[in-house]
Amino acid sequence: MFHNERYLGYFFIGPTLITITLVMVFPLIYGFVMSFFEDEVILTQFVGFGNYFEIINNPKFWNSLMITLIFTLSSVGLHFVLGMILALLLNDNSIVNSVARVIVLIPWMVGESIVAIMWKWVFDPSFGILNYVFTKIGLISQNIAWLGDPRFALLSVIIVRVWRGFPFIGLLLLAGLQAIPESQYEAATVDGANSWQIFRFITLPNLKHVITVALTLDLIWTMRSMALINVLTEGGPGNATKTIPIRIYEEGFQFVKLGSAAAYSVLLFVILIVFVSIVILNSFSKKQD
Amino acid sequence: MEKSKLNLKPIFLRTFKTLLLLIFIFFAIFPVFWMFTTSIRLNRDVFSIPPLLWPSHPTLEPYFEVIKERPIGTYFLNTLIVAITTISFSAPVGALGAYGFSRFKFKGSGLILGFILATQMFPYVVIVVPYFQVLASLKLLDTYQGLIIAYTSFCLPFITWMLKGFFDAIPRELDEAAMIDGCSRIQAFIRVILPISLPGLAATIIFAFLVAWNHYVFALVLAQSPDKMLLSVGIPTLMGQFAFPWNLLMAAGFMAILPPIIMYSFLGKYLVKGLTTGAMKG
Repeated sequence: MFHNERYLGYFFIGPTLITITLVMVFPLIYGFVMSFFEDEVILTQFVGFGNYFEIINNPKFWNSLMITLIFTLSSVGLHFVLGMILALLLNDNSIVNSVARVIVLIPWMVGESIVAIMWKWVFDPSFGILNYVFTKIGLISQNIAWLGDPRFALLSVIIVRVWRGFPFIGLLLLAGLQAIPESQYEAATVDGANSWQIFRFITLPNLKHVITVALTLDLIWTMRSMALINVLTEGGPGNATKTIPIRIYEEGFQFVKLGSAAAYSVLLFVILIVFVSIVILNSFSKKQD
Repeated sequence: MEKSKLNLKPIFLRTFKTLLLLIFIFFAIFPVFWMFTTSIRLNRDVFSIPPLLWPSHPTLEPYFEVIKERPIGTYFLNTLIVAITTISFSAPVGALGAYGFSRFKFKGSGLILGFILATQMFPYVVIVVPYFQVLASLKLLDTYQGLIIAYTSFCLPFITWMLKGFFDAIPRELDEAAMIDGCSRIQAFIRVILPISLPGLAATIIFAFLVAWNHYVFALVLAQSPDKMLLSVGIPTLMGQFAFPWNLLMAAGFMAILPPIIMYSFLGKYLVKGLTTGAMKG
Protein backbone atom coordinates (compact mmCIF):
# COMPACT_ATOMS: atom_id res chain seq x y z
CA MET A 1 0.00 0.00 0.00
CA PHE A 2 1.36 3.35 -1.00
CA HIS A 3 1.68 6.21 1.46
CA ASN A 4 -0.56 8.68 -0.31
CA GLU A 5 -3.30 6.09 -0.35
CA ARG A 6 -4.24 6.28 3.25
CA TYR A 7 -7.74 7.46 2.67
CA LEU A 8 -8.26 5.69 -0.60
CA GLY A 9 -8.79 2.44 1.23
CA TYR A 10 -11.80 3.90 2.98
CA PHE A 11 -13.23 4.86 -0.37
CA PHE A 12 -13.16 1.24 -1.41
CA ILE A 13 -14.67 -0.33 1.65
CA GLY A 14 -16.89 2.61 2.58
CA PRO A 15 -19.97 1.78 0.49
CA THR A 16 -19.82 -1.88 1.52
CA LEU A 17 -19.55 -1.12 5.21
CA ILE A 18 -22.23 1.53 5.18
CA THR A 19 -24.65 -0.67 3.28
CA ILE A 20 -24.03 -3.69 5.49
CA THR A 21 -24.51 -1.57 8.58
CA LEU A 22 -27.83 -0.31 7.28
CA VAL A 23 -29.28 -3.55 5.90
CA MET A 24 -27.80 -6.06 8.29
CA VAL A 25 -26.40 -4.64 11.51
CA PHE A 26 -29.25 -2.25 12.15
CA PRO A 27 -32.03 -4.86 11.74
CA LEU A 28 -30.11 -7.30 13.93
CA ILE A 29 -29.81 -4.82 16.76
CA TYR A 30 -33.41 -3.81 16.26
CA GLY A 31 -34.43 -7.45 16.51
CA PHE A 32 -32.47 -7.85 19.69
CA VAL A 33 -34.21 -4.83 21.18
CA MET A 34 -37.59 -6.10 20.00
CA SER A 35 -37.14 -9.26 22.01
CA PHE A 36 -37.53 -7.30 25.21
CA PHE A 37 -40.97 -5.99 24.34
CA GLU A 38 -44.36 -7.53 24.31
CA ASP A 39 -46.88 -6.57 21.77
CA GLU A 40 -50.06 -6.97 19.94
CA VAL A 41 -48.68 -6.08 16.50
CA ILE A 42 -47.19 -2.83 17.76
CA LEU A 43 -44.49 -3.28 20.36
CA THR A 44 -45.55 -1.23 23.30
CA GLN A 45 -44.76 -2.90 26.55
CA PHE A 46 -41.28 -3.40 27.87
CA VAL A 47 -41.08 -6.77 29.58
CA GLY A 48 -37.40 -7.21 30.06
CA PHE A 49 -36.60 -10.87 29.90
CA GLY A 50 -40.27 -11.76 30.09
CA ASN A 51 -40.40 -13.20 26.59
CA TYR A 52 -37.36 -15.34 27.26
CA PHE A 53 -38.80 -16.74 30.49
CA GLU A 54 -42.06 -17.55 28.76
CA ILE A 55 -40.25 -19.40 26.02
CA ILE A 56 -38.00 -21.40 28.30
CA ASN A 57 -40.97 -22.42 30.43
CA ASN A 58 -42.92 -23.52 27.39
CA PRO A 59 -42.50 -27.20 26.49
CA LYS A 60 -43.09 -26.21 22.87
CA PHE A 61 -39.65 -24.63 22.83
CA TRP A 62 -37.89 -27.71 24.16
CA ASN A 63 -39.81 -29.90 21.73
CA SER A 64 -38.76 -27.69 18.85
CA LEU A 65 -35.20 -27.68 20.11
CA MET A 66 -35.11 -31.45 20.15
CA ILE A 67 -36.63 -31.70 16.69
CA THR A 68 -34.16 -29.14 15.42
CA LEU A 69 -31.25 -31.10 16.87
CA ILE A 70 -32.46 -34.41 15.47
CA PHE A 71 -33.11 -32.87 12.08
CA THR A 72 -29.78 -31.05 11.95
CA LEU A 73 -27.50 -33.75 13.28
CA SER A 74 -29.08 -36.54 11.20
CA SER A 75 -29.05 -34.52 8.01
CA VAL A 76 -25.51 -33.26 8.46
CA GLY A 77 -24.28 -36.70 9.46
CA LEU A 78 -25.81 -38.29 6.38
CA HIS A 79 -24.52 -35.46 4.21
CA PHE A 80 -21.02 -36.33 5.27
CA VAL A 81 -21.35 -40.07 4.96
CA LEU A 82 -22.92 -39.91 1.50
CA GLY A 83 -20.78 -36.95 0.52
CA MET A 84 -17.60 -38.76 1.49
CA ILE A 85 -18.54 -41.82 -0.53
CA LEU A 86 -19.47 -39.61 -3.47
CA ALA A 87 -16.20 -37.71 -3.21
CA LEU A 88 -14.19 -40.93 -3.18
CA LEU A 89 -16.11 -42.17 -6.22
CA LEU A 90 -15.51 -38.94 -8.12
CA ASN A 91 -11.89 -38.58 -7.17
CA ASP A 92 -10.12 -39.60 -10.32
CA ASN A 93 -10.26 -36.97 -13.01
CA SER A 94 -11.76 -38.94 -15.82
CA ILE A 95 -14.07 -37.36 -18.37
CA VAL A 96 -16.95 -39.44 -17.05
CA ASN A 97 -16.32 -38.04 -13.62
CA SER A 98 -16.18 -34.44 -14.73
CA VAL A 99 -19.60 -34.87 -16.32
CA ALA A 100 -20.86 -36.78 -13.29
CA ARG A 101 -19.73 -34.01 -10.98
CA VAL A 102 -21.84 -31.46 -12.79
CA ILE A 103 -24.90 -33.70 -13.04
CA VAL A 104 -24.84 -34.77 -9.43
CA LEU A 105 -25.02 -31.19 -8.17
CA ILE A 106 -28.41 -30.60 -9.76
CA PRO A 107 -30.40 -31.09 -6.51
CA TRP A 108 -28.58 -28.14 -5.08
CA MET A 109 -29.64 -25.92 -8.00
CA VAL A 110 -33.30 -26.33 -7.23
CA GLY A 111 -34.77 -23.90 -4.71
CA GLU A 112 -35.86 -25.39 -1.39
CA SER A 113 -39.54 -24.68 -1.85
CA ILE A 114 -39.55 -26.37 -5.27
CA VAL A 115 -37.61 -29.32 -3.83
CA ALA A 116 -40.35 -29.61 -1.24
CA ILE A 117 -43.07 -29.64 -3.90
CA MET A 118 -41.14 -32.24 -5.90
CA TRP A 119 -40.81 -34.56 -2.95
CA LYS A 120 -44.34 -33.99 -1.71
CA TRP A 121 -45.42 -35.68 -4.93
CA VAL A 122 -42.92 -38.49 -4.50
CA PHE A 123 -44.18 -39.00 -0.95
CA ASP A 124 -47.87 -38.89 -1.85
CA PRO A 125 -49.51 -41.76 0.06
CA SER A 126 -51.92 -42.87 -2.65
CA PHE A 127 -50.32 -42.01 -5.97
CA GLY A 128 -46.72 -41.25 -5.15
CA ILE A 129 -43.96 -43.23 -6.74
CA LEU A 130 -42.21 -44.13 -3.49
CA ASN A 131 -45.11 -46.07 -2.00
CA TYR A 132 -45.70 -47.80 -5.31
CA VAL A 133 -42.11 -48.99 -5.60
CA PHE A 134 -41.80 -49.98 -1.96
CA THR A 135 -45.01 -52.00 -1.92
CA LYS A 136 -44.10 -53.56 -5.26
CA ILE A 137 -40.75 -54.80 -4.00
CA GLY A 138 -42.31 -55.88 -0.75
CA LEU A 139 -40.50 -53.44 1.54
CA ILE A 140 -43.77 -52.28 3.03
CA SER A 141 -47.17 -53.95 3.14
CA GLN A 142 -49.36 -50.88 2.81
CA ASN A 143 -49.02 -47.27 1.83
CA ILE A 144 -47.22 -45.04 4.28
CA ALA A 145 -48.24 -41.44 4.81
CA TRP A 146 -44.65 -40.21 4.71
CA LEU A 147 -45.49 -36.66 5.58
CA GLY A 148 -48.84 -37.16 7.27
CA ASP A 149 -47.85 -39.82 9.78
CA PRO A 150 -46.11 -38.38 12.86
CA ARG A 151 -43.91 -41.47 13.03
CA PHE A 152 -42.45 -40.87 9.58
CA ALA A 153 -42.68 -37.12 9.03
CA LEU A 154 -39.35 -36.17 10.57
CA LEU A 155 -37.60 -39.01 8.78
CA SER A 156 -39.09 -37.95 5.46
CA VAL A 157 -38.06 -34.36 5.96
CA ILE A 158 -34.54 -35.50 6.77
CA ILE A 159 -34.45 -37.59 3.59
CA VAL A 160 -35.35 -34.56 1.49
CA ARG A 161 -32.78 -32.39 3.22
CA VAL A 162 -30.11 -35.04 2.71
CA TRP A 163 -31.06 -35.40 -0.95
CA ARG A 164 -30.62 -31.71 -1.54
CA GLY A 165 -27.41 -31.25 0.38
CA PHE A 166 -25.17 -34.28 -0.04
CA PRO A 167 -23.86 -33.43 -3.55
CA PHE A 168 -22.60 -30.03 -2.40
CA ILE A 169 -20.84 -31.50 0.62
CA GLY A 170 -19.53 -34.25 -1.62
CA LEU A 171 -17.93 -31.72 -3.94
CA LEU A 172 -16.42 -29.77 -1.05
CA LEU A 173 -14.90 -33.00 0.25
CA LEU A 174 -13.75 -33.78 -3.28
CA ALA A 175 -11.84 -30.50 -3.30
CA GLY A 176 -10.07 -31.64 -0.17
CA LEU A 177 -9.33 -35.06 -1.63
CA GLN A 178 -7.84 -33.58 -4.76
CA ALA A 179 -5.41 -31.59 -2.67
CA ILE A 180 -3.88 -34.63 -1.00
CA PRO A 181 -0.43 -35.28 -2.43
CA GLU A 182 -0.08 -38.53 -4.32
CA SER A 183 3.20 -39.15 -2.54
CA GLN A 184 1.44 -39.80 0.75
CA TYR A 185 -0.65 -42.53 -0.81
CA GLU A 186 2.42 -44.06 -2.42
CA ALA A 187 4.33 -44.08 0.81
CA ALA A 188 1.46 -45.74 2.59
CA THR A 189 1.08 -48.42 -0.07
CA VAL A 190 4.79 -49.14 0.09
CA ASP A 191 4.41 -49.56 3.84
CA GLY A 192 1.74 -52.16 3.19
CA ALA A 193 -1.36 -50.27 4.33
CA ASN A 194 -4.75 -51.55 3.22
CA SER A 195 -7.56 -49.33 1.91
CA TRP A 196 -9.19 -48.79 5.27
CA GLN A 197 -5.88 -47.83 6.89
CA ILE A 198 -5.10 -45.46 4.06
CA PHE A 199 -8.48 -43.84 4.55
CA ARG A 200 -8.08 -43.50 8.29
CA PHE A 201 -4.49 -42.36 8.48
CA ILE A 202 -3.90 -40.51 5.22
CA THR A 203 -7.21 -39.32 3.77
CA LEU A 204 -9.09 -38.22 6.88
CA PRO A 205 -6.30 -36.26 8.58
CA ASN A 206 -5.63 -34.41 5.34
CA LEU A 207 -9.28 -33.50 5.09
CA LYS A 208 -9.51 -32.01 8.55
CA HIS A 209 -9.60 -28.39 7.42
CA VAL A 210 -12.13 -28.97 4.66
CA ILE A 211 -14.29 -31.03 6.99
CA THR A 212 -14.28 -28.29 9.60
CA VAL A 213 -15.31 -25.63 7.11
CA ALA A 214 -17.92 -27.84 5.47
CA LEU A 215 -19.28 -29.01 8.82
CA THR A 216 -19.66 -25.45 10.08
CA LEU A 217 -21.42 -24.32 6.94
CA ASP A 218 -23.68 -27.35 6.81
CA LEU A 219 -24.68 -27.16 10.47
CA ILE A 220 -25.68 -23.56 10.05
CA TRP A 221 -27.44 -23.98 6.72
CA THR A 222 -29.38 -26.96 8.00
CA MET A 223 -30.27 -25.48 11.35
CA ARG A 224 -31.60 -22.32 9.81
CA SER A 225 -33.46 -24.10 7.01
CA MET A 226 -37.10 -23.16 6.98
CA ALA A 227 -38.39 -23.26 3.41
CA LEU A 228 -38.12 -27.00 3.02
CA ILE A 229 -40.07 -27.96 6.11
CA ASN A 230 -42.56 -25.14 5.76
CA VAL A 231 -43.66 -26.28 2.32
CA LEU A 232 -43.40 -30.00 3.07
CA THR A 233 -45.30 -30.15 6.33
CA GLU A 234 -45.61 -26.65 7.85
CA GLY A 235 -44.14 -28.18 10.96
CA GLY A 236 -46.77 -30.88 11.20
CA PRO A 237 -48.35 -33.25 11.63
CA GLY A 238 -48.96 -31.69 15.02
CA ASN A 239 -45.51 -30.62 16.10
CA ALA A 240 -43.61 -33.53 14.59
CA THR A 241 -41.41 -31.43 12.31
CA LYS A 242 -41.64 -28.08 14.03
CA THR A 243 -38.06 -26.92 14.12
CA ILE A 244 -37.17 -23.65 15.80
CA PRO A 245 -37.18 -21.62 12.57
CA ILE A 246 -40.72 -22.86 11.92
CA ARG A 247 -41.66 -21.90 15.48
CA ILE A 248 -40.28 -18.43 14.89
CA TYR A 249 -42.38 -18.02 11.78
CA GLU A 250 -45.44 -19.35 13.58
CA GLU A 251 -44.91 -17.18 16.63
CA GLY A 252 -44.24 -14.02 14.67
CA PHE A 253 -46.63 -14.28 11.78
CA GLN A 254 -49.42 -16.62 12.75
CA PHE A 255 -49.74 -15.76 16.40
CA VAL A 256 -48.48 -12.26 15.60
CA LYS A 257 -46.29 -12.07 18.69
CA LEU A 258 -43.31 -10.32 17.19
CA GLY A 259 -41.53 -9.70 20.47
CA SER A 260 -41.71 -13.37 21.34
CA ALA A 261 -40.56 -14.33 17.85
CA ALA A 262 -37.63 -11.96 18.22
CA ALA A 263 -36.69 -13.63 21.50
CA TYR A 264 -36.87 -17.04 19.84
CA SER A 265 -34.60 -15.72 17.11
CA VAL A 266 -32.01 -14.58 19.61
CA LEU A 267 -32.12 -18.00 21.25
CA LEU A 268 -31.69 -19.73 17.89
CA PHE A 269 -28.75 -17.49 17.19
CA VAL A 270 -27.17 -18.40 20.52
CA ILE A 271 -27.68 -22.12 19.85
CA LEU A 272 -26.04 -21.74 16.46
CA ILE A 273 -23.04 -19.97 17.96
CA VAL A 274 -22.68 -22.74 20.52
CA PHE A 275 -22.61 -25.38 17.80
CA VAL A 276 -20.19 -23.49 15.60
CA SER A 277 -17.92 -22.86 18.56
CA ILE A 278 -17.89 -26.53 19.42
CA VAL A 279 -16.87 -27.42 15.89
CA ILE A 280 -14.21 -24.74 15.62
CA LEU A 281 -12.74 -25.28 19.08
CA ASN A 282 -12.65 -28.99 18.41
CA SER A 283 -10.65 -28.50 15.25
CA PHE A 284 -8.23 -26.11 16.94
CA SER A 285 -7.52 -28.43 19.83
CA LYS A 286 -6.80 -31.25 17.43
CA LYS A 287 -4.33 -29.07 15.59
CA GLN A 288 -2.24 -28.79 18.72
CA ASP A 289 -1.49 -32.52 18.73
CA MET B 1 0.59 -63.58 -6.29
CA GLU B 2 -0.78 -65.15 -9.44
CA LYS B 3 -1.34 -62.79 -12.32
CA SER B 4 -4.96 -63.84 -12.67
CA LYS B 5 -5.79 -62.63 -9.15
CA LEU B 6 -4.24 -59.24 -9.78
CA ASN B 7 -6.14 -58.82 -13.03
CA LEU B 8 -9.63 -59.53 -11.71
CA LYS B 9 -9.74 -57.45 -8.55
CA PRO B 10 -9.33 -54.00 -10.12
CA ILE B 11 -12.00 -54.81 -12.68
CA PHE B 12 -14.49 -55.81 -10.00
CA LEU B 13 -13.60 -52.70 -8.06
CA ARG B 14 -14.03 -50.46 -11.11
CA THR B 15 -17.38 -51.99 -11.95
CA PHE B 16 -18.56 -51.71 -8.37
CA LYS B 17 -17.49 -48.08 -8.19
CA THR B 18 -19.20 -47.23 -11.46
CA LEU B 19 -22.37 -48.96 -10.35
CA LEU B 20 -22.35 -47.13 -7.04
CA LEU B 21 -21.80 -43.82 -8.82
CA LEU B 22 -24.70 -44.53 -11.13
CA ILE B 23 -26.90 -45.23 -8.14
CA PHE B 24 -25.91 -41.91 -6.60
CA ILE B 25 -26.60 -40.07 -9.83
CA PHE B 26 -29.92 -41.83 -10.25
CA PHE B 27 -30.88 -40.86 -6.71
CA ALA B 28 -29.89 -37.26 -7.39
CA ILE B 29 -31.66 -36.94 -10.73
CA PHE B 30 -34.78 -39.06 -10.45
CA PRO B 31 -36.96 -36.65 -8.46
CA VAL B 32 -36.24 -33.87 -10.96
CA PHE B 33 -36.93 -36.21 -13.86
CA TRP B 34 -40.12 -37.32 -12.12
CA MET B 35 -41.18 -33.72 -11.72
CA PHE B 36 -40.71 -33.14 -15.41
CA THR B 37 -42.57 -36.22 -16.61
CA THR B 38 -45.46 -35.45 -14.26
CA SER B 39 -45.64 -31.94 -15.64
CA ILE B 40 -46.44 -33.21 -19.12
CA ARG B 41 -49.29 -35.51 -18.13
CA LEU B 42 -53.02 -35.20 -18.33
CA ASN B 43 -54.82 -35.98 -15.10
CA ARG B 44 -55.60 -39.56 -15.94
CA ASP B 45 -51.91 -40.24 -16.46
CA VAL B 46 -51.03 -38.49 -13.22
CA PHE B 47 -53.28 -40.68 -11.14
CA SER B 48 -52.84 -43.89 -13.05
CA ILE B 49 -52.10 -47.05 -11.12
CA PRO B 50 -49.53 -48.37 -11.71
CA PRO B 51 -47.75 -45.06 -12.29
CA LEU B 52 -46.24 -44.74 -15.75
CA LEU B 53 -42.63 -43.78 -16.12
CA TRP B 54 -43.51 -41.72 -19.15
CA PRO B 55 -47.04 -40.47 -19.95
CA SER B 56 -49.01 -42.23 -22.65
CA HIS B 57 -50.02 -38.88 -24.12
CA PRO B 58 -47.42 -36.26 -23.29
CA THR B 59 -48.84 -32.76 -23.45
CA LEU B 60 -47.91 -29.21 -22.59
CA GLU B 61 -51.47 -28.55 -21.45
CA PRO B 62 -50.57 -28.36 -17.73
CA TYR B 63 -48.18 -25.50 -18.49
CA PHE B 64 -50.89 -23.47 -20.18
CA GLU B 65 -53.37 -24.30 -17.47
CA VAL B 66 -51.17 -23.35 -14.58
CA ILE B 67 -50.44 -20.00 -16.15
CA LYS B 68 -54.18 -19.40 -16.20
CA GLU B 69 -54.51 -20.66 -12.65
CA ARG B 70 -51.85 -18.42 -11.11
CA PRO B 71 -50.00 -15.31 -12.24
CA ILE B 72 -46.83 -17.29 -12.85
CA GLY B 73 -45.60 -14.65 -15.26
CA THR B 74 -45.92 -12.02 -12.54
CA TYR B 75 -44.08 -14.18 -10.02
CA PHE B 76 -41.38 -14.77 -12.60
CA LEU B 77 -41.02 -11.10 -13.40
CA ASN B 78 -40.98 -10.08 -9.75
CA THR B 79 -38.29 -12.61 -8.91
CA LEU B 80 -36.24 -11.50 -11.89
CA ILE B 81 -36.53 -7.82 -10.98
CA VAL B 82 -35.59 -8.34 -7.36
CA ALA B 83 -32.71 -10.70 -8.08
CA ILE B 84 -31.19 -8.64 -10.88
CA THR B 85 -31.54 -5.30 -9.12
CA THR B 86 -30.07 -6.65 -5.90
CA ILE B 87 -27.09 -8.14 -7.71
CA SER B 88 -26.63 -5.05 -9.87
CA PHE B 89 -26.16 -3.05 -6.72
CA SER B 90 -24.31 -5.63 -4.64
CA ALA B 91 -21.79 -6.69 -7.26
CA PRO B 92 -20.06 -3.33 -7.84
CA VAL B 93 -20.24 -2.31 -4.19
CA GLY B 94 -19.03 -5.74 -3.14
CA ALA B 95 -16.22 -5.73 -5.68
CA LEU B 96 -14.99 -2.35 -4.44
CA GLY B 97 -15.18 -3.52 -0.87
CA ALA B 98 -13.48 -6.81 -1.63
CA TYR B 99 -10.65 -5.01 -3.36
CA GLY B 100 -10.31 -2.62 -0.44
CA PHE B 101 -10.12 -5.45 2.06
CA SER B 102 -7.75 -7.38 -0.12
CA ARG B 103 -5.24 -4.62 -0.81
CA PHE B 104 -5.45 -2.29 2.17
CA LYS B 105 -4.79 -2.83 5.84
CA PHE B 106 -7.26 -1.35 8.28
CA LYS B 107 -7.44 -1.31 12.02
CA GLY B 108 -9.81 -4.09 12.97
CA SER B 109 -10.17 -5.42 9.45
CA GLY B 110 -9.91 -8.91 10.85
CA LEU B 111 -12.90 -8.22 13.02
CA ILE B 112 -14.89 -6.69 10.19
CA LEU B 113 -14.10 -9.56 7.87
CA GLY B 114 -15.00 -12.05 10.56
CA PHE B 115 -18.28 -10.28 10.95
CA ILE B 116 -18.95 -10.36 7.23
CA LEU B 117 -18.25 -14.07 7.24
CA ALA B 118 -20.56 -14.47 10.22
CA THR B 119 -23.37 -12.76 8.33
CA GLN B 120 -23.28 -15.64 5.88
CA MET B 121 -24.39 -17.81 8.70
CA PHE B 122 -27.33 -15.92 10.14
CA PRO B 123 -30.63 -17.67 9.92
CA TYR B 124 -32.90 -15.58 7.77
CA VAL B 125 -35.69 -16.15 10.28
CA VAL B 126 -33.62 -14.30 12.84
CA ILE B 127 -33.47 -11.16 10.78
CA VAL B 128 -36.87 -11.37 9.11
CA VAL B 129 -38.76 -10.47 12.27
CA PRO B 130 -37.16 -7.02 12.68
CA TYR B 131 -37.22 -6.58 8.92
CA PHE B 132 -40.96 -7.05 8.89
CA GLN B 133 -41.38 -4.47 11.64
CA VAL B 134 -39.06 -1.91 10.09
CA LEU B 135 -40.36 -2.25 6.54
CA ALA B 136 -43.94 -2.16 7.79
CA SER B 137 -43.36 1.14 9.53
CA LEU B 138 -41.61 2.52 6.43
CA LYS B 139 -44.54 1.34 4.29
CA LEU B 140 -42.11 -0.78 2.28
CA LEU B 141 -43.89 -4.10 2.59
CA ASP B 142 -45.01 -5.61 -0.70
CA THR B 143 -42.68 -3.35 -2.63
CA TYR B 144 -39.71 -4.06 -4.84
CA GLN B 145 -37.61 -1.62 -2.81
CA GLY B 146 -38.33 -3.42 0.45
CA LEU B 147 -37.44 -6.77 -1.05
CA ILE B 148 -34.28 -5.46 -2.65
CA ILE B 149 -33.10 -3.96 0.62
CA ALA B 150 -33.73 -7.25 2.37
CA TYR B 151 -32.05 -9.30 -0.34
CA THR B 152 -29.02 -7.03 -0.25
CA SER B 153 -28.50 -8.04 3.36
CA PHE B 154 -27.36 -11.48 2.27
CA CYS B 155 -26.13 -10.82 -1.26
CA LEU B 156 -23.67 -8.06 -0.47
CA PRO B 157 -21.70 -9.80 2.31
CA PHE B 158 -21.61 -12.98 0.25
CA ILE B 159 -20.28 -11.26 -2.86
CA THR B 160 -17.76 -9.23 -0.85
CA TRP B 161 -16.44 -12.32 0.90
CA MET B 162 -16.15 -14.44 -2.22
CA LEU B 163 -14.53 -11.72 -4.30
CA LYS B 164 -12.02 -10.93 -1.60
CA GLY B 165 -10.90 -14.53 -1.85
CA PHE B 166 -10.45 -14.23 -5.59
CA PHE B 167 -8.64 -10.89 -5.37
CA ASP B 168 -6.34 -12.26 -2.69
CA ALA B 169 -5.21 -14.87 -5.17
CA ILE B 170 -4.04 -12.21 -7.62
CA PRO B 171 -0.50 -11.04 -6.79
CA ARG B 172 -0.17 -7.45 -5.69
CA GLU B 173 2.75 -7.00 -8.04
CA LEU B 174 0.22 -6.69 -10.84
CA ASP B 175 -1.48 -3.72 -9.22
CA GLU B 176 1.84 -2.14 -8.45
CA ALA B 177 3.14 -2.69 -11.95
CA ALA B 178 0.07 -0.97 -13.36
CA MET B 179 0.46 1.95 -10.98
CA ILE B 180 4.11 2.33 -11.80
CA ASP B 181 3.02 2.52 -15.41
CA GLY B 182 0.96 5.57 -14.48
CA CYS B 183 -2.43 4.17 -13.49
CA SER B 184 -4.16 5.42 -10.41
CA ARG B 185 -5.19 2.79 -7.89
CA ILE B 186 -8.75 2.89 -9.19
CA GLN B 187 -7.61 2.49 -12.76
CA ALA B 188 -5.41 -0.43 -11.75
CA PHE B 189 -8.44 -2.01 -10.18
CA ILE B 190 -10.70 -1.53 -13.19
CA ARG B 191 -8.27 -2.14 -15.98
CA VAL B 192 -6.06 -4.85 -14.54
CA ILE B 193 -7.54 -6.69 -11.60
CA LEU B 194 -11.16 -6.93 -12.72
CA PRO B 195 -10.40 -8.48 -16.12
CA ILE B 196 -8.08 -11.04 -14.57
CA SER B 197 -10.61 -12.04 -11.97
CA LEU B 198 -13.44 -12.34 -14.50
CA PRO B 199 -13.99 -16.12 -14.07
CA GLY B 200 -14.21 -15.76 -10.31
CA LEU B 201 -16.38 -12.69 -10.71
CA ALA B 202 -18.72 -14.52 -13.06
CA ALA B 203 -18.95 -17.57 -10.82
CA THR B 204 -19.71 -15.41 -7.80
CA ILE B 205 -22.40 -13.41 -9.55
CA ILE B 206 -24.05 -16.55 -10.88
CA PHE B 207 -23.93 -18.18 -7.47
CA ALA B 208 -25.40 -15.05 -5.89
CA PHE B 209 -28.12 -14.84 -8.53
CA LEU B 210 -29.09 -18.46 -7.85
CA VAL B 211 -29.26 -17.87 -4.13
CA ALA B 212 -31.43 -14.80 -4.68
CA TRP B 213 -33.64 -16.57 -7.23
CA ASN B 214 -34.34 -19.45 -4.86
CA HIS B 215 -34.68 -17.43 -1.70
CA TYR B 216 -37.79 -18.07 0.35
CA VAL B 217 -37.93 -16.56 3.84
CA PHE B 218 -37.84 -12.86 3.02
CA ALA B 219 -40.13 -13.44 0.06
CA LEU B 220 -42.62 -15.23 2.28
CA VAL B 221 -42.82 -12.55 4.93
CA LEU B 222 -42.17 -9.34 3.05
CA ALA B 223 -44.16 -9.84 -0.16
CA GLN B 224 -47.54 -11.37 0.53
CA SER B 225 -49.71 -9.55 -1.95
CA PRO B 226 -50.26 -11.51 -5.17
CA ASP B 227 -48.93 -8.82 -7.46
CA LYS B 228 -45.57 -8.67 -5.74
CA MET B 229 -45.25 -12.31 -4.79
CA LEU B 230 -42.14 -14.19 -5.85
CA LEU B 231 -41.86 -17.62 -7.51
CA SER B 232 -40.54 -19.48 -4.50
CA VAL B 233 -43.57 -18.43 -2.48
CA GLY B 234 -46.21 -18.23 -5.19
CA ILE B 235 -45.90 -21.76 -6.50
CA PRO B 236 -46.60 -23.53 -3.20
CA THR B 237 -49.85 -21.58 -3.01
CA LEU B 238 -51.15 -23.95 -5.69
CA MET B 239 -51.36 -26.56 -2.99
CA GLY B 240 -54.96 -26.30 -1.96
CA GLN B 241 -56.80 -27.82 0.94
CA PHE B 242 -57.46 -31.23 -0.52
CA ALA B 243 -56.29 -32.86 -3.70
CA PHE B 244 -53.41 -31.07 -5.36
CA PRO B 245 -53.27 -30.60 -9.14
CA TRP B 246 -49.96 -32.41 -9.33
CA ASN B 247 -49.34 -31.93 -13.02
CA LEU B 248 -49.96 -28.20 -12.71
CA LEU B 249 -47.77 -27.99 -9.62
CA MET B 250 -44.95 -29.83 -11.33
CA ALA B 251 -45.30 -27.67 -14.42
CA ALA B 252 -45.07 -24.54 -12.30
CA GLY B 253 -42.13 -25.96 -10.39
CA PHE B 254 -40.33 -26.86 -13.57
CA MET B 255 -40.80 -23.38 -14.96
CA ALA B 256 -39.38 -21.98 -11.74
CA ILE B 257 -36.24 -24.05 -11.96
CA LEU B 258 -35.73 -23.43 -15.64
CA PRO B 259 -33.51 -20.31 -15.27
CA PRO B 260 -31.23 -21.96 -12.71
CA ILE B 261 -31.05 -25.17 -14.76
CA ILE B 262 -30.29 -23.28 -17.97
CA MET B 263 -27.65 -21.18 -16.26
CA TYR B 264 -26.26 -24.30 -14.71
CA SER B 265 -26.08 -26.21 -17.97
CA PHE B 266 -23.88 -23.52 -19.47
CA LEU B 267 -21.85 -22.52 -16.47
CA GLY B 268 -22.11 -25.50 -14.18
CA LYS B 269 -18.72 -26.87 -15.02
CA TYR B 270 -17.08 -23.60 -13.95
CA LEU B 271 -18.98 -23.62 -10.70
CA VAL B 272 -17.96 -27.20 -10.03
CA LYS B 273 -14.38 -26.46 -10.96
CA GLY B 274 -14.39 -23.51 -8.59
CA LEU B 275 -15.82 -25.64 -5.80
CA THR B 276 -13.51 -28.57 -6.29
CA THR B 277 -10.38 -26.48 -6.46
CA GLY B 278 -11.14 -25.12 -3.04
CA ALA B 279 -12.65 -21.73 -3.79
CA MET B 280 -14.51 -22.15 -0.54
CA LYS B 281 -11.47 -22.66 1.61
CA GLY B 282 -12.90 -20.12 4.03
